[in-house]
Amino acid sequence: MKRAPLMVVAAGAMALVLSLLVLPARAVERVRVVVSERGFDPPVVEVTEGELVEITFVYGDSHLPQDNPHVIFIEGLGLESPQISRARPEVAVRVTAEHSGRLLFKCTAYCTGHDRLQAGYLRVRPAAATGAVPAATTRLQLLAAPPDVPGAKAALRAQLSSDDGQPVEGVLVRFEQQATLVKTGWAPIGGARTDGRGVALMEYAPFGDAERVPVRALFEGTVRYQAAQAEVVLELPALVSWWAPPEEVRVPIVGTWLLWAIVAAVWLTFAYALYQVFTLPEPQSAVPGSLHRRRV
Amino acid sequence: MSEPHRLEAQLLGVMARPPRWYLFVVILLAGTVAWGFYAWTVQYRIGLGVTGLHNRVPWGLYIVNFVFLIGISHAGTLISAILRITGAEWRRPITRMAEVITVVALMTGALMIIVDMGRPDRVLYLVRYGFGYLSSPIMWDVLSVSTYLIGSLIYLYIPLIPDLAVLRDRLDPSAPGWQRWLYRTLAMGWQGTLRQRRRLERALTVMALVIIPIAVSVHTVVSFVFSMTLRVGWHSSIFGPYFVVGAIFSGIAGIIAAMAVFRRIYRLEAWITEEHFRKLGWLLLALNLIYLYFTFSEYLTMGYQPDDAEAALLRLLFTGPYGKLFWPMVVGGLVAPALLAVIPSVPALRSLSTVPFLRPAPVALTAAGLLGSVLIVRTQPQAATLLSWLATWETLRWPLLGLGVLLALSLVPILQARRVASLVIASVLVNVGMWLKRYLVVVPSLAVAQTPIEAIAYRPTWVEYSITAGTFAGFALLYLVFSRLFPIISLWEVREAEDSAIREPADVGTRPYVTPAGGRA
Amino acid sequence: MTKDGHQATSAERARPSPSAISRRTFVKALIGTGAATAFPAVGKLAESWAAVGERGSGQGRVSRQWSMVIDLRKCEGCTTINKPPQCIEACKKVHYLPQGQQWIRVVTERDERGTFFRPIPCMQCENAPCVQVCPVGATYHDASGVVLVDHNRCIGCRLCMAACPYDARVFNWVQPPTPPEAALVTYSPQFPVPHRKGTVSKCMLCAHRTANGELPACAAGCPMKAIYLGDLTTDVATNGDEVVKLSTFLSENHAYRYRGELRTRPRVYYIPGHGEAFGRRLGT
Repeated sequence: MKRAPLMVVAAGAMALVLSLLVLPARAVERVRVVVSERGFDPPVVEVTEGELVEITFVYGDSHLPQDNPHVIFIEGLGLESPQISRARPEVAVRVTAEHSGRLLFKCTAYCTGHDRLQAGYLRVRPAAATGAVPAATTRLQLLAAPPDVPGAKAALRAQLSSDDGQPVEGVLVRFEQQATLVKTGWAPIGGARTDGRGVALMEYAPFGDAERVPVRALFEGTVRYQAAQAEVVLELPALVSWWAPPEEVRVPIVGTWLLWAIVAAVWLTFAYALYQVFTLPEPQSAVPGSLHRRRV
Repeated sequence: MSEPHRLEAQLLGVMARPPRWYLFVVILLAGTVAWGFYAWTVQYRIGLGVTGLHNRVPWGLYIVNFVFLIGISHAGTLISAILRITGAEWRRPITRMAEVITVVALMTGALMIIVDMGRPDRVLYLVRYGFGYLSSPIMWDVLSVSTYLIGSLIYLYIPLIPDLAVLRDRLDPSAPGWQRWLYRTLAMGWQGTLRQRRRLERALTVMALVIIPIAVSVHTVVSFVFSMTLRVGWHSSIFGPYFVVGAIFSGIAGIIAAMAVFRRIYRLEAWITEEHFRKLGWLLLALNLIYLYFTFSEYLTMGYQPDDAEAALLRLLFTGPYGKLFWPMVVGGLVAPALLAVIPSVPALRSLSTVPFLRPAPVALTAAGLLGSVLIVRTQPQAATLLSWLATWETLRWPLLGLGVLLALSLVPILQARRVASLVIASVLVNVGMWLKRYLVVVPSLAVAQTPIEAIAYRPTWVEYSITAGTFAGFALLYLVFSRLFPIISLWEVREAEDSAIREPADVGTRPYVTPAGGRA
Repeated sequence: MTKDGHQATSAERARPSPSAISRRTFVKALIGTGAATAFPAVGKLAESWAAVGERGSGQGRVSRQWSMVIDLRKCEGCTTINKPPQCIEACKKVHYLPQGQQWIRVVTERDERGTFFRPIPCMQCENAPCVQVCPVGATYHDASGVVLVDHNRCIGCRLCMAACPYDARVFNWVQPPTPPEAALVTYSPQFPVPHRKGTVSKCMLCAHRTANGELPACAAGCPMKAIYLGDLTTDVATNGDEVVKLSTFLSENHAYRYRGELRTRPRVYYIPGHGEAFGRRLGT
C-alpha cells in the first residue's frame, strides 16, 4: 500500500516536467544596447514583429570623469526608458513591436555625445511564416474609475491576457470615449502599453456633455495575439469646462466720473460765457463808454 | 477820418453793395453745391456702391475730406484763442475770418461723415445708443467734435456782438427788415458801456482758455479712429500729436489763403497788411518744420526694421502706385512751402535780385539745361539708348535736383519782390499737399493686404468727386454769405487797439501795428 | 425648429457690458460707460461664459462656446476635385450671398515646405477689435462667444471693417438681390437674411445651424472634411465624420491661431499642413 501515493507523486512530477517541455516556452528576445557618448552599440537592433522583446540599455560612459545620464526614447512606440547613469547602469524595457518596419530610438537627455545618440534603429522583421502558430485568442478586461471631484481625471485600467491566462506584455492598448456633437462617435483618448501583468493604465480628463459615457479599450492584435476590445460605462460628475474666459486687465475704474466731469465742466463754461452775454446789463443813464465818445 | 471809421465804412459799404461779380460767383457755387447734392441723392438711392469703395478699401474720399476739414478748423483756435491769450496784437483784423473758417469747416466736416455712412437715416443712433459704447473712437469723435462746434459757434458769436450793435445802429434804412431784426436780436442790447465790455472780456477769456484744449482733443480723437486699429501705418502712438500739428499747419495755410482772398476782393489792404502775412508766414514755417520732423520720425520708424506688411506699405508709397501722389506731396506740400516762406526773407539771396549780373544767371542756366537735354535727346543718333540710360532714376535724379535748385534760384527775385504772393502760393501748396497727405494716410493702409488676397485699387467715381466739389463749394459759399451778412474784420477789436494806441502812445506793448498809410511798419 | 434659428428680441440678445474683455475693460476704465455697470456686468458675463453646473443629454442644458478647427493637412483648395472651393460655395448657397460677396475665403500661402491653402472665415475673436470699436454696439458677442451683427442697428460707418485684421468683414454696398426663398426668412442676427443695404456683414459661424445641432455650412460642405466644429465647454470637436477630444486634437497636432501675435484670441484654430492627406506633395 505504501507504493501508491509515491507513484502518484512521481507521475505528477513527470507530468509537470513533460508539460514544461512540451508547451511552447514564452520566448522573450533579449538584446543589449550599450549607450555611451560615442553612440549606440549596436546602432541597429533586429527584433521580430509581434514578439515580446526585452531591450537592456547599458551605461557605457564609466570612463568619463562625470556622470553622463541618458534617457532613451523609442519614437515609433512612444516609449521612454528610465534614466541610465552611473548609479543605475542597466535598465530593461519590454516591448512588442506590432508592425514590421524601422523604429527610431534616441537619447532625449542633455548629455555628452547627444548628437551621436540620435539615430538608433529597431529593425522589426516581419513575423516568421504565418500560420505556423495561430494567433492566440485574448481577453481584454476594462475597469473605469470616474473622477472623484468635478475637474479631476478618470482612471482606466485595461488588462489583456491570452485565453490561457497568460498576460500579454508590451503591446499597445488604445482607449476611446464616446462623445456627441452634431453626431455621436468614438473620440480617441490615447494609448498605453501593457506591463508585465498585461495591465495598461490611462488617466484622462473626461469630456462631452453626457452624464454617463461609454468608454472602450482596443487592442489591435499582433501576429501572436488576436485583437480584442472591451467597453464600460463611466459615470461622470458635474461638467467643468476645459475652457475659461481669459484673464482681464484690471485697471481701477476712474474714468467714468472723470470723463463726465470734464465734459460737464466744458459745457458749463459754455453756459457761463453765454450767460455773460445774454444778460448784458442795461447802460446807466449818463455815463457813455469811450466808444460813444468817439462816434462821429 | 480816423482809421476805424474808414474800416467801418469800407466793410459796411461792401456789405451793402457787393462787387459786381458777387452774384455770378454765388450762382456758380450754389450750382456746384446743388450738383453735389444731386450726386448724394443718387448715392442715397442706390447705396455706397456708386462710389469706388469696396470691401478692402472701405474708406476713401469722404473720410479724407472729413479729416482735412476738421484739420482746417484748427485755424480759428490758433489765431483767435492762442494769440489772444498770448497778447499778440496783430491778430485783431484776422480773428473773425479764422473763427468763421473753424465753424464752416466743422459743419462741412460733420456733413462728410453723414455722407459716408451706409445708413444715414440712422445717424441719431449715435446719440440713442452711442453713450453705452464709449469704447468706440467714433463716439469720442462725436463728443469732441460736437463740443468743439458749439464752442466755436459761441466763440464766433461773442466777439460778433459789438459789431452787430454797429450794424444795428448804422445799417442802411433800405436794407430788408429781416436783416435789421437779425442784428437787433443778436446784438443783445449792446451799447458799449464799461460794464458790458468787462462782461464781454470775461466771456471771451474764458472761452479762449477752454477752447484750446478742446481743439487739441478734436484732432487727437480723429487720429485715434485710425491709430486704435491694428492696420500697418495707422497703429502708431505718434498719431495724436502728428494730426494736431498737421491740423494747425493746414489751418494756418487756410487762414493765409482766406486773408489773401478777402484782402483782394474787399480791398482791405490797409488793415490786412504785409506784416500779417509775414508773421503768419513764420508760423507756417515753424509748423512746417515740426510736421516734417514728425513725418520723418514716422517713416523712419516704419522703415528701419520693417516687417512684411510695413515694407509692403512703404513700397506702395515710395515706388508703387501711390508714389505719384506721395512725392509731389512731399516736395510740393512739405518742402516747397518752407522754401517759399523762407526765401523772401533771406538777406543773402537778395543779391540775386539786386545785382544786375546775377539776376538772369539762374534763369539762363535753367533754360540752357532744359534746352540742352532736349537737343541731345533729339539729335543724337543713339537717342533711344541714351533716353533709356537717362531714364533710370539713378542717373536722372541728380540732374533733376540740380535743375530744381536752379529753378528755385531763378524764382528768388520774384518771390522776394512779391512776398505776399509767395506766401499765398505756399499756403495753396500746403492745403493741396495736406489733402494729399490725408489721402495717403487713409487709403494705402487700407489697400495693403492684411491677408494674402488680391489687391484692388481704389478709384473714386463721379459721385465722390461731385460730392467733394459740392462740399468745398458749400464751404466757400457759406463763407461768402457770412462776409455779406457780418463784417469779416472785427471792427471793435481794431478800434480797441487804435484806442489804446492813441491813449498810451509811449507804451511799447501797444505799438500800433498799422500806420495810417497802411504800409509796412 | 425653423431654419432661421431663434429670433433676436431685445431681451434675448445678450449684449455684453462694454467692460467684458481685457482691452475693452482697460479702455472703459479710462473712459467709463456711465454709472456703476462695470463690476456687476463683468460678474454676469463671467457666469455666462463659465461652465454650467449640470450635465444633460443633448445640447439644451449645456452652454456652448463655439470654436472651429481647420485641418490644413486635409484642405487642398478643392484642386484635386477640380471645383471651386466647396466651403465658399456652401456658405454662399446657404446664406443667399450676392455675387461677389464671400464670408469665407480660401487663400494660397507659401512657407518653407511649399504652398498650402487656408480657408479664412471670421475668426470670432474673443478679444475682437470690431466689437470694441462699434459706436452703437451693432456688433457684439453672443453667449457662446460668436461675434454677431445686428443689422437693425448698424449705421454703416465701417470702422469695424477698418479695425478687423483678418479682412473678414464685407459691406452691402448696394441692396443685395433677394431670391424669393430668402424673402420668406425672418431676419435674425444669427441668420442675417434678407441682407440689408448699407450694413456690414460677415461669417456668423452659422449660429442658426449650430443652435440646431448642425454643422456650419462650410464644415458640412467640405468634401475633405477639413473643417471641424468645436465646443470649448465640453471639449469635443467634429467634422461630421469623426468625433475628437478638442484639447488633445489641438495639442497633438500643433494647432495655432492665425496672426496670433495680434492678441485678438481667435476662436478658429489651424492645424499646419499642406494638403498632404489628399496627395499634395510637399514642395509644390
